[in-house]
Amino acid sequence: MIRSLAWRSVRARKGRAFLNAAGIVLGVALFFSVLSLSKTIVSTFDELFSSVYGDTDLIISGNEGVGTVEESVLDKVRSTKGVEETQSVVFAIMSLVKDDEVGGSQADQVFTNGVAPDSPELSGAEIVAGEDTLDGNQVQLDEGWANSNGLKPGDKAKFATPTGVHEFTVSAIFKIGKGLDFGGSGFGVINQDLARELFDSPTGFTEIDVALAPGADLETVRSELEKILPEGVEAKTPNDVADDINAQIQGFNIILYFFAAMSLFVGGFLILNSFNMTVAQRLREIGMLRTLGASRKIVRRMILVEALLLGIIGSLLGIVVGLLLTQLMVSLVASIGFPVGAVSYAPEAFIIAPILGVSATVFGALRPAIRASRIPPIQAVLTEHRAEPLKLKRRLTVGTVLVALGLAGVFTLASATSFPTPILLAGAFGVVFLFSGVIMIGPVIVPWLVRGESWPLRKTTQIEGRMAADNARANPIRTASTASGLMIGIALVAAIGSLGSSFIGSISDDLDKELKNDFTVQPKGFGQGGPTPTISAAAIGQIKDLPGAKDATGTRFLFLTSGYGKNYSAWSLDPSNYAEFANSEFVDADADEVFAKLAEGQVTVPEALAEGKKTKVGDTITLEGPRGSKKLTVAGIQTGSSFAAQSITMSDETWMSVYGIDGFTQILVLADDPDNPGPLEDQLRALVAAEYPTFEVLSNEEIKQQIQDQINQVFAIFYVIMLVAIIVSLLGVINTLLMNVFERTREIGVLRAIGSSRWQVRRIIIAESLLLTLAGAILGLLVGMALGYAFVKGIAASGQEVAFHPPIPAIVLVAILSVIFGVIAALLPARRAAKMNVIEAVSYE
Amino acid sequence: MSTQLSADGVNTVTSASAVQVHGLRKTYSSGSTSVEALKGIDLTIDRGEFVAVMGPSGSGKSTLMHILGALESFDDGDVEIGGLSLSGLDDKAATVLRRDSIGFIFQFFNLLPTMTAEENVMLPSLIAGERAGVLKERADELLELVGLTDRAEHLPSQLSGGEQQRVSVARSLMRDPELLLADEPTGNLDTRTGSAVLDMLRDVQTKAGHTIMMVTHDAVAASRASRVVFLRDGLIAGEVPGGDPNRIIEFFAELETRN
Ligand SMILES: Nc1ncnc2c1ncn2[C@@H]1O[C@H](COP(=O)(O)OP(=O)(O)OP(=O)(O)O)[C@@H](O)[C@H]1O
Ligand SMILES: [Mg+2]
Repeated sequence: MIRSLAWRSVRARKGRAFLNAAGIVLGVALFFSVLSLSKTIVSTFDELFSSVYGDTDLIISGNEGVGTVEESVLDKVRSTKGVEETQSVVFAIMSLVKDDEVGGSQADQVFTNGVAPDSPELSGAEIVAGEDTLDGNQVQLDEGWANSNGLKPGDKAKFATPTGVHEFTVSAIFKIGKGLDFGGSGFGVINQDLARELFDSPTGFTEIDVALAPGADLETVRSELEKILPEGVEAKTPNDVADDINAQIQGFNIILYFFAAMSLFVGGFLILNSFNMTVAQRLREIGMLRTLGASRKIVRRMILVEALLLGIIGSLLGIVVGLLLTQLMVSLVASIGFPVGAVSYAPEAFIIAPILGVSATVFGALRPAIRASRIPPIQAVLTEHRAEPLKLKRRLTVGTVLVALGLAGVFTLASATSFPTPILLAGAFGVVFLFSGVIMIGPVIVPWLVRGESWPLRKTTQIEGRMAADNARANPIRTASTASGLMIGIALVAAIGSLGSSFIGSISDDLDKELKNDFTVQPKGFGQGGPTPTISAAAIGQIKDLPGAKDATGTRFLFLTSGYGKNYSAWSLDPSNYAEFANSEFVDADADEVFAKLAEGQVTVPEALAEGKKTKVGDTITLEGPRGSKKLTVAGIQTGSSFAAQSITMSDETWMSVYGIDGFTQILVLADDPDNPGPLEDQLRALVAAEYPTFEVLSNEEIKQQIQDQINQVFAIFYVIMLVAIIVSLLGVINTLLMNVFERTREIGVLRAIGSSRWQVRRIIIAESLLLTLAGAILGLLVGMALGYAFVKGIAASGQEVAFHPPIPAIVLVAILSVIFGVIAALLPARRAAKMNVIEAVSYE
Repeated sequence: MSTQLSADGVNTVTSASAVQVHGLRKTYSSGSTSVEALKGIDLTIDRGEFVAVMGPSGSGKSTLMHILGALESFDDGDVEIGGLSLSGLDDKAATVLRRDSIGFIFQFFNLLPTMTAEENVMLPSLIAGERAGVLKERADELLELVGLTDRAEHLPSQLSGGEQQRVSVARSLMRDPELLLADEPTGNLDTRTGSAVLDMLRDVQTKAGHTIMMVTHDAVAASRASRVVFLRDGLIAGEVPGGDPNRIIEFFAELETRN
């Protein structure tokens, strides 16, 4: 009986049910697609590694793939019991040079292994065309990439290598795994002797791949190997390597989950508001049921079962939409350079997403259900229901406490240097508390906000602004809840925007102070993570010889994934002349003195890392690299925002003794005449484009722009997710407007009867919608900036150098969007109001 | 046909009668069923006349009124308000006509709850786009006319039913319309209050020379009119002059027994 009542109620209010369900559909779809997106990324790596390392059982390389392994290690590995075959690799990234066109994009790159031609084939590669030879200038390429670049065996192709452009002949095409193709970089194999020369790697191996003897036990061999391997060198299975990479993207996933959860929160909130309205609309009906003997419990259950039905239908549809949304997200992620293969759906997503969807719906309906059950039977005969009195004082106090707790939670998360679960929870609950607090305070402040906003409308229109403002203020709880729904999505956009603009602003302020060089030569897309191409010492010489060049120096960069400097980078520089190229700043120390100590084998530590690790000048830190583990004295604590200033820096000699990587990452260039660097710039660009196309020449302005673009790109996916949350909350606006139109049928009818045109009525509803969306936008921007401010302050407290910069682009974006969305949300309700049957509206009570 | 000057005596007459209805027919159809609500009505109302319309339930009174108020379309015949034909009027033109030439007084008052009495009176002119400053004076005059000067700043919820209906009368007069339409204006008031409102309406009407058509079930109310028109089954069934409620009751009773 309850079920059929609930079902009838869903059907009787199809429009409302549709809007409610749509909110759940979008929330579930988003959650589903975020789960599937991370599943896709994970399985891309899994498949990549299992195919690239077909017959490889163990990979020997520097910790987490850092640096190169000394050659002597190879013999020791070979003589270990249980090791059947080995293949040593010298790795670099090459980039296809097309007819005079500057390439170097992700899709032009080939991850190239230099191997001995007679070494056993330990990858899963299988030759599908050409001959399996690697003589002289021959290169073998993977099928997918070769096809998309139109290369066949026998073709000649030019590739940019760390030492310049080199011409190869394609000897064979191979296929890896199931023909993996993720539309980006390719794989290539060349002769190891050639690789040593072209990759500027005279010594060492990037990795040694090991195949076990039949019957040998993996763990036994691994522990045997660990005995003979130098410190800083590890033996891992291909799965371990994939897991490492997956662990690195876990942080990204957590953020994605959080945002998806927020949009479900908005969906649940939509349900809450909507059911509150339904209950208000059905007072008499519910009172009637009560007089007929329905108990409170039955009334409560009726509402909850209705929510359950909606939740189930919405969740099922959500999965369908989620399947499509996943495709969209995957291509979005692919477009920012993430390697993603075929979309794979997470099996658990089919369970988790609908469970969350149904829970959000039922949870949202809980309070309305309790309210409905408290409706007295007498309500059946009363014509009006006294609105619950607003407990303004209580709302203000509880709300303020929640906001304060929320901001404190966010600050705690942001100021943390490590992220155990309690800290993550503090942050997540902080955000939820903050929003709940604002939702509590909403009915107190939103009417004032609406009054303020409506001022220009009231001044410029005869009645539209006035009517809209009256309508919006007539039911402060409903108006505030609707605006609060929007507030959440917009606040997150503003918070992300605040973070972005603060980072961008702080970095460019700092770079203005730090950079003294005129040009920087660095790999294209530098700073996006992943292996970076390197450039040889010879290039530095070539650049110094250019007319108009005063000096040039090379630096090396490596992202550290373990040990003392985990999640920071190591940076090598030439202490004797680096001060010419950059203003380095150290805490309470003179740069010249610090550089003198670097030349003696000491290192500097970035301020944020030093604070996290409580490192002081004079302490010793241990850096682990494949060339051994070194205890090094800290010469200074560095401040600033450049990559170098955010890294552990050391002299070139110290670098080689730990990591053993010869290739340079950056070349900093000084012009003879800094006021007129144009002629040098032309020469420099021509040289780099011709011989080192994976690299590019950047002016200081371009560097700042590039950092800005990279930050914006990473944030783009969060914006997309929040857009879904905002769309969900727009459904709430539509819902509220429809309810208001319904409740004001008579008033609208009167207006029409005494001479309002349809357009005038439409304009009233549009104005009302704008008041709502603008209230949401203003609240959202304020809350979001507070959130961003707490976050930035927290990060600053953790030692990173960042100051709050207001998110001007986000503010402009939100302002424009809220007007557009306001008009869109009003379309249907305005239409309904304009098409209203005037006679019916004014005739009956 | 008679010519009538408005109270200030400056209006020149553009058409002899305020309302002219010829052979008006209206059929409501929904799906397979159709109801012929008006079966050929001929009716002329002169300027300054106060006409009451009576008839049994379902006889078409409201339908006639809605058509005259340009709220409803009709199938056949012709209707003119102040010389303007309503045939084939589109929504825009109908809106302008309602705004400028018609004043409505509803059974349920229908004041806007968030606006004060004064603002409610000004509403039709605000809708028409006139500036509030100028309108205040006129609204205050009208409120004085209906005896509510001291209630100007009150919200409808703070007024009694009779007072609300007075505000509604003032509102209907705001744009000095060609025709006032009142559908059972006292239907929602007790006899004494209703009577007072009608007296007031009658007063205003004779002073300013407005044309009024009022639908009512109440013979006493109808007797305030200058003549009473009877409808039955969508047709005019006869008419008697106003003034004597007994005569109206007699006619009505006779009408009920007619076949
Ligand atoms: N919108 C409509 N759709 C269908 N039929 C209608 C509609 N409006 C009125 N009718 C029918 O037209 C006829 C005349 O109705 P109308 O409302 O004009 O009568 P009335 O004289 O005002 O009655 P009452 O005294 O009860 O108000 C009735 O039979 C009614 O059922
Ligand atoms: Mg009627």
